[in-house]
Amino acid sequence: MSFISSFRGTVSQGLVLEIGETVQILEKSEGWYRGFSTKRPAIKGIFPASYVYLKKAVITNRGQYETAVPLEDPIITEVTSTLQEWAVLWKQLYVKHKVDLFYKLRHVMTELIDLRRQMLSAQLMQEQLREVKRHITVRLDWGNEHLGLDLVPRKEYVMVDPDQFSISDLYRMHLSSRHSVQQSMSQGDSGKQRHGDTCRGLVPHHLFVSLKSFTYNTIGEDTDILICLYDNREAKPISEKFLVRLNKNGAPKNPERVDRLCALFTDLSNKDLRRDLYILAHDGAQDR
Amino acid sequence: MNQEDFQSRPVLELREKIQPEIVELIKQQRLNRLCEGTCFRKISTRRRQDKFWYCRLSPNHKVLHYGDLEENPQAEVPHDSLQEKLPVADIKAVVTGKDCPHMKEKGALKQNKELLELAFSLLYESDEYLNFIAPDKHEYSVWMDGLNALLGKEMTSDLTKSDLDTLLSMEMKLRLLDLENIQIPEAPPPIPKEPSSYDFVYDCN
Repeated sequence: MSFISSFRGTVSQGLVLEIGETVQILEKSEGWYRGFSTKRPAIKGIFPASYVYLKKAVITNRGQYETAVPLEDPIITEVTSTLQEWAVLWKQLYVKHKVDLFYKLRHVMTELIDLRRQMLSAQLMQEQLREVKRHITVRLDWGNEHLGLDLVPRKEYVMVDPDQFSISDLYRMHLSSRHSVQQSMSQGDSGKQRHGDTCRGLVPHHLFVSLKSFTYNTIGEDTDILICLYDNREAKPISEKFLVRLNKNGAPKNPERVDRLCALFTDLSNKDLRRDLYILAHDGAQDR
Repeated sequence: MNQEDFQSRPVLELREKIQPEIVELIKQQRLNRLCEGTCFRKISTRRRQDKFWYCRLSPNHKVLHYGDLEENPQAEVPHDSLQEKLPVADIKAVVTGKDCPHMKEKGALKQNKELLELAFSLLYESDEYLNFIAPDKHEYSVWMDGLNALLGKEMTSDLTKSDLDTLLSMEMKLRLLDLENIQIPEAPPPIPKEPSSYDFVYDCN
């Protein structure tokens, strides 16, 4: 399934392929395969069988729309796809002249390529393999965090399918990933970095707001009140707004719908809590 | 895939094919750097305090804005402090080192080899020059590359060579990830005879 030489597609229906591309084979005939590159699944064509190195794969959904997943340790697959995702962002770091992260990430990518090679080539003992996997996952998590990508939930170093675990399980996995990232960072780096990390803690907070009554001196007609969280220092709202309808006495318009008078502001970070935070009530018509 | 496989013909071909994309990235980076601008030192023969001037490229890459500054800026230089401008289209040539008028005029400076390596001038009109002395070798390379890119010329600095190597070698390693432990042939294998029919067979094994 891996391409070992470039093919310019010199025959009719030929598929142009570069060395290193991964192809999925659909059909075969007289020394030729018909298939597609996994980068461009829509374009199908034929290519010489001698140009292809076959790898074992698991086929699901057999037939016209089958998909092949290479039969290898899932961590290898994850490293491959993650490195390819990072490469795009890494080049953007270069163009935007973010020198520091550019070189740090390059170092980590090179380490990952080497670790991946170790996993593929050497006959590792069970214990060594665990150690290599630990090194790999710490680096994957580090990079994803610094590039602002999602943290991957994992168990025993392997990525898990988020649909098969409960929210609280996923949360615990995230927490342990974060711990290992922080540990590995604090070993090498200065205390300053550790401090920076705690500021960006992931622990979310929720704020429940329930409106009991509302008075204001000019209320004399039906009013729409918009409520949001407001950072006084940056002078801007940091949450979405929620709407309460009041009658001219300042009482809720629909008193029977008590649930309409409550709002839950979710996922506030530690950083948010450290803001100069206000609950801002805003008249639908004008500022008050 | 081993280190020496990076020399095989199919790999070298791929490297050559990717190179233009990478050069384009370097070009974008240099132009971005010119848009951020640089603070240049003014040199005077009299031993007065150093004076500064700032030059940057407009975001649409058409005009160089520049102007004098009192001191080396710590924050971004506001737009209205750079009153002078030079349209890129008016630039006739870029000269460097001892060909720069400001390196010829001031006899005393000729001795200073360090300054010669940092000096460049833009010729506009028929004999008007805008004269620069870069703060360091790195900034000199950035400006020479950026100006060459602006004028549609090749970027030739050592910095470009090393950036190209950094970016290209990573790109190659990533493209060839799936060839780990697989022998790459020295030359492409022969292409078989074109299939006699296009009745390809689905093969479950």
